[in-house]
Amino acid sequence: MARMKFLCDAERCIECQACVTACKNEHEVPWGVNRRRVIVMNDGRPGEKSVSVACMHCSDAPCAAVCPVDCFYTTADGIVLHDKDLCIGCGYCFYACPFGAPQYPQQTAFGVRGKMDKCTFCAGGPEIAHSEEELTKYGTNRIAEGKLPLCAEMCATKALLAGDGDIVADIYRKRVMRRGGRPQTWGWQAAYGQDA
Amino acid sequence: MPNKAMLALAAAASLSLLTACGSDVTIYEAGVYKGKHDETATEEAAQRRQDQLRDRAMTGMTDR
Amino acid sequence: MKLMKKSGAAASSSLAPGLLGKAIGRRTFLQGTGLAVGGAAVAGLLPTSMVKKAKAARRIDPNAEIRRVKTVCGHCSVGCSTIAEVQNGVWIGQEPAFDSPINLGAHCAKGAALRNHGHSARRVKYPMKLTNGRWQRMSWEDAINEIGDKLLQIRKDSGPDAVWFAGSSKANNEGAYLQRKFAAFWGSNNCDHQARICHSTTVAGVANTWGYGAQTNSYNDINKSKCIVMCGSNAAEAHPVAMQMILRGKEQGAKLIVMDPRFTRTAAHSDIFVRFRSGTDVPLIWGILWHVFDNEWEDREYLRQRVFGMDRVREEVAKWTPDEVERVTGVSREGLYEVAKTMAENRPGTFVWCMGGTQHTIGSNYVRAYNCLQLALGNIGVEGGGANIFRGHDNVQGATDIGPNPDNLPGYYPISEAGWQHWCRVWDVDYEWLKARFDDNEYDDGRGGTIKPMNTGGITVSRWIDGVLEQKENIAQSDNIRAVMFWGHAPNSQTRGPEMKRAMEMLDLLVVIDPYPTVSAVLHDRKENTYLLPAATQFEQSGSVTASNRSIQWRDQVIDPLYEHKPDGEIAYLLASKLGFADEMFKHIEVRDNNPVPESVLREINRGAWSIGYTGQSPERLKEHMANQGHFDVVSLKAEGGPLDGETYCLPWPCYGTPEIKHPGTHVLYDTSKHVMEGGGNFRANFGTEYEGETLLAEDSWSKGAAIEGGYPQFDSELLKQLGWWDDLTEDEKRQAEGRSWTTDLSGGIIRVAMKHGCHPFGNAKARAYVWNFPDPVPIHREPLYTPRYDLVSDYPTYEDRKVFYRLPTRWKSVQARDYSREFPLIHTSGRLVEYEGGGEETRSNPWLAELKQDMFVEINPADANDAGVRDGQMVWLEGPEGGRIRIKALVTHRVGRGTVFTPFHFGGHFQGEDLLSKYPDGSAPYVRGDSTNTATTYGYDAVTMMQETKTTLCRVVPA
Repeated sequence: MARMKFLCDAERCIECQACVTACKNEHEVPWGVNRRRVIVMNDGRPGEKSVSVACMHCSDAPCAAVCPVDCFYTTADGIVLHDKDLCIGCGYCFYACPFGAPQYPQQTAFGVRGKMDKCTFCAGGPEIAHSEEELTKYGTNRIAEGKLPLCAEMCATKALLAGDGDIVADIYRKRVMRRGGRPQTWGWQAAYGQDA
Repeated sequence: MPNKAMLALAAAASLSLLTACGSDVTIYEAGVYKGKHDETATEEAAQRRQDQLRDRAMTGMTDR
Repeated sequence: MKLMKKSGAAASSSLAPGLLGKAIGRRTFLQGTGLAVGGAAVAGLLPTSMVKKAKAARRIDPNAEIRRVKTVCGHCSVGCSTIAEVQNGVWIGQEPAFDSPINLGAHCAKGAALRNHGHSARRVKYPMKLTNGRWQRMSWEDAINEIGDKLLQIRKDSGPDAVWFAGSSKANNEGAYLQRKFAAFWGSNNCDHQARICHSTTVAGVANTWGYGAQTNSYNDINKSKCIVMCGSNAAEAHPVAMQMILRGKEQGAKLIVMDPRFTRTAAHSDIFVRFRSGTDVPLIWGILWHVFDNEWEDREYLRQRVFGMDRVREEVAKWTPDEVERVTGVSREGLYEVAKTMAENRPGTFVWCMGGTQHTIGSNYVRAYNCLQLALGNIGVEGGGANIFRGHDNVQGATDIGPNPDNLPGYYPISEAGWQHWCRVWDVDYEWLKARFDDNEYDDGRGGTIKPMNTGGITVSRWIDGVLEQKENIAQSDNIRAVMFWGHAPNSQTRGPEMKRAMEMLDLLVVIDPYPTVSAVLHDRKENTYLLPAATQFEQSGSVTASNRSIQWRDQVIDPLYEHKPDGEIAYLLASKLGFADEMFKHIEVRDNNPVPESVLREINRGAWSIGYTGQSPERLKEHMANQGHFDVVSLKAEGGPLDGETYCLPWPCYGTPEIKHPGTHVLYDTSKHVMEGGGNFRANFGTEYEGETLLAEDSWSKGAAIEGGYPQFDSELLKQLGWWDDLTEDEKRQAEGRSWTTDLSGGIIRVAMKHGCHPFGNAKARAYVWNFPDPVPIHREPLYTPRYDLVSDYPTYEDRKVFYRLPTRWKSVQARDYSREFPLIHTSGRLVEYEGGGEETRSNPWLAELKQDMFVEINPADANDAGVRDGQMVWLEGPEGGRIRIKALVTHRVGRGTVFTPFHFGGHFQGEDLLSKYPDGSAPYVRGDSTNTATTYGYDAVTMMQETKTTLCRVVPA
């Protein structure tokens, strides 16, 4: 079975924010909620590196482990989703998440009473696929249409990769071999473990 | 040692009490998803889209 | 108004500009997190009704049909295709166009946010005018009538040159062409567009060196480079998708060298970064070339065969010893030796430059210095090499080629009588009739003689304000500029903001034609005679658009114009009708419901622009290319198999001759390794055949398969006869070609026959390292007008002032005469951000982008910040030496070196600390506003093209 993963190639990321606006565009994420963002190390100095970060859809997701109402579930192909009807917006998942992915809009289309919102890997949520409920609470469902997350599909330099972990790793491995250098991934081991 | 007899009795009573609860009470299973069922999260759904997603990755993620 | 139900999208309706909590600093993780909280807090203030409205913003009907339309992003010259999904006339989704060989589906922040154009509520919406200082709605009919009457009155009182038009590099080719034609039929050369302040020095510099004013290779071709040098180009922000090809090139082993006063995001990916003092590119390049010559790394055989005048450059370079270079630029001997060695050892290498190299008082010298370096290394006319000039706007190349330029006609035909005669034949109008439209008096030509306005360059976009402010007797035309029409133009991208405000206030008429109000609507304190006309975006009309690499892509129309917007063509038609020249102007252009049909306009361009090969790209061919994008190889841009086998993607010009002869387009200019019918070529013979006894024609070099093995002049009927090829023409072609050259033969026969013999119609000559018709035939260094190194002015002074230059007195020496460096100790340089484009009106009105950069800011080095008593995040005044000052946020960073500050130029809507929000028409102000960089910039213009100086001036920064 495929296992969906994100991988951001820090050698290619140019901090252009296409992933961020693609996400806003696709799901009409409101101002102030950032399912994805670009973070920068050594800003403005030699060694400057940037990576695009969202929910990494961890294999053993810490958010799910700490959730007091157990609103998280993982799809058969490894996408970590949650049920906003159940979420109480307590914020434990934010503490647990190594990537700072969970967002807490207080009162927008994406959740009332401060329910948590996060990247869905463009796979919607536990509502009927493409229904108005799903669109309103979670955004579109590209995965159900056989498409991958728009952030990765529109990445300016193909730094951000998304898809089955085997394919993503394969594409990336070829690139690293061509470069002849060390891999410059970010977050991969934290999200998917040493062996993945 | 009357206390011993009392304890045994109490233990027996409490056991029978628990049994009496029967099927009316849900036992909390920590870590198990409690939300709505997602039709697109199932094994079958994932299987169905697997090839399509693979093709999509080969089209969209590679350098060509 | 059909889109009201979308209510400007979720984000726009839930936004409360000015209320937004914590502004984002530039790219830090913690601040990003803070933003999320701040945003949530703001959202919490909104009434529930707004939430409901936002929810309803986007409804996708799972059962209704979705139409997929391919279009091209409008935010830079890379030319990224995208697929718009449209349902019931509403743009509901945006999908990546993986097939495009240019972007492979990729976008930057702007491209990935395009869909917002489909429902933005921040647009002008309907025609409006100022009545006693307040915006008032009016009908199109009234607007056209009122504007037309006023224009005609001004024409009667002051002549046609009292009106000045700014066209647009964002218009499609058809729109841009009609803008130029409109000015011509109005009877004036007073029209210009953003290319003036973008790459005018490039176009003049490269065209005068080797033939054409355009990028020689392509973004894709960088895959083949072994060394990529970027000087004054920050592609990671300005052309992000180009970085895909650059990083691919780097992965295949190319060395990436970035030279810039700033450690840019592009520099972050470099192998070698060279920081130098802003305004010293000539010494920098001569410093590199000094090592090349010193180590005999130049390509001698190439220079012998294909380059004229390098010996004269060599003499100048010899003066730039490593010590002197270091004294002027601040770069060490070792630093530039490493660059020279890397370039020499890794050939072919490409040289990329952008605004950092062009926007200077000696920008045309910089450009030619870059050219000389590339020529010395034999890097021009080869795959993987080239002068990869990344243009700015999506169609700035096209608008330069065939659009509203004041100093030439479409296809770079001169504004001499010969050029006008050519186009009059294409347009089928009587030359004498057209001539009578112009002012027939003669004025000072600046060279001791007089000239008619029809034959002299009009006032440029960089200087229109002086056309208003200057004393009438000092201007070489009938009167001051009294009316200005901004037809797709942001005024905040020009320097000298406070003077611009004054100029706007002095005008008798100001007309703004744009999808958004722009800063032109709010900068001034006008009360009357000011109009806003809503123009459609590129997504609301179809047409062709020329990417930086000269590929001409076709945009299909995504949606109908929102509100009461109209396409450029229709506006041109309505105005021309009112002004009385529509019949002549549209004589051979099909017009449907007041709309000139874009295909018909393109065919007229095809019939006239022979000189640059804009003739083979018929609408049918272009559409077929768009439909078969997947057939083109990403590196060579060549179709492999299929119906377009062997053609280059979207027929990069020159695509010579008629569409029928199927020239494949030219991927790499001047490439002798290919046959001319495969896109091969050589340098252009545009400057005669010899100079001071030396031949200018190529020696022992010709394009593959040429029947003439050596240099030859441009083709004309005489040359064909001499060569015995005259009878290769058909009888009809002979009739049309007699007495004509390849550029004026409307049959295309001369071109056809020349190419049939493997020859290039424009001849085969040497590139000119020595350009005798420029003020500095060999590029030399001259200190900026506002220099921090006043001690160098005596060694490297600027030009003498000139009485008439593009009709205006122009100062150099008298500005440089004063030393400002003590009062204003910091170099002020400016540039782009990835989130915004140009003046930023469009992009700052897009909430998905605006959220990412909410404050105008200045990057300042920690040392300078401490000297000024300024902390990170603090509000400061940045003050320029001409009195303009802006109130902005300090961003303390090592990105800029000590002594240099950087500001982005996309902001507007504030003036010297004051928010102009109340001056915008209701509901149309951009979400993000800020003081414009150019309120604090200064005087200074290139001596060839009138390019403005925005990269090197002075300022001081003080706490606000």
